[in-house]
Amino acid sequence: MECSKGLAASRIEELNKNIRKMTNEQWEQVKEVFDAALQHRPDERAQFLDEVCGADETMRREVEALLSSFDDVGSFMAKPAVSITREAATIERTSLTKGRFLGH
Amino acid sequence: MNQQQEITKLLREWSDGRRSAFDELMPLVYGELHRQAARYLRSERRAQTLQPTALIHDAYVRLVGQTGIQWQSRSGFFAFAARVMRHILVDYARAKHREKRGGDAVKVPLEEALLMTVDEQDVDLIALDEALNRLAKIDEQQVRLVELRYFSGLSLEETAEALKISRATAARDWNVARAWLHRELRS
Repeated sequence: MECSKGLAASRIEELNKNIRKMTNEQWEQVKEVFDAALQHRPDERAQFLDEVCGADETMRREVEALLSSFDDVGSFMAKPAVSITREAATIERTSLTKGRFLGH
Repeated sequence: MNQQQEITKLLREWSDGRRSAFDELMPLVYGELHRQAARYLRSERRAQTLQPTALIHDAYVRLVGQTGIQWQSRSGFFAFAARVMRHILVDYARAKHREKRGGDAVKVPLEEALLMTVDEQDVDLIALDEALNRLAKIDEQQVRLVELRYFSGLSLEETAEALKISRATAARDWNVARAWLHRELRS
């Protein structure tokens, strides 16, 4: 894995360690709790997590991290990765501009 | 065995886990996606966006047609096409990354290119690819879901059907996947 930023790399390492510790069953639970937490109002979530996670710090941490990420996921991956447009064909022929067009 | 039957057989083998089936199928599927894209671009239709779903569907009709059990092989084909798209896009991103010092994107004449505009949000495809590989170790099905949604452009309903899960589960797993990947990509 390429490490370009010191902080980012060690953070990724830490996340990976947490993930490896989790079993399939725990992951399924994380997904369920995440989903259920979303059904609660933001101000009610902490209490909900208290009830559901109890002493399970790992689960709570994972769910909270996911919730926090989901809160500002915005349009991330909201549309498919690619689309094909006629404009792309025209631009391809005539322009010198930098584009994100795929030539293969 | 005609070509359609051969392709259906390879799709089944690939989804059963025979990895070498990917190498055999890839050029066929990629070639057909390319042909369909070029055909669309040459058509008289007014400027509009072709979603990957439509493209893949056309390729599916050509390559698999009526052979095999209709919806099962169709969703298998979409899963495979999603993998092909992911593969192509990541390869391209890596090549472009290596050439980055040069500046301009690599241009290829219209007739030879599979022309696609990449998602406007400028997702780091290399990072996404690596994150998906990590996610696969936790949850294989979730990665297939992401591929079907993001690379093949299937709806939640279609994705649920393809994976034989409920729509509610598909919706849930899609939210989790996006949250998880978003976290991975911004760290």
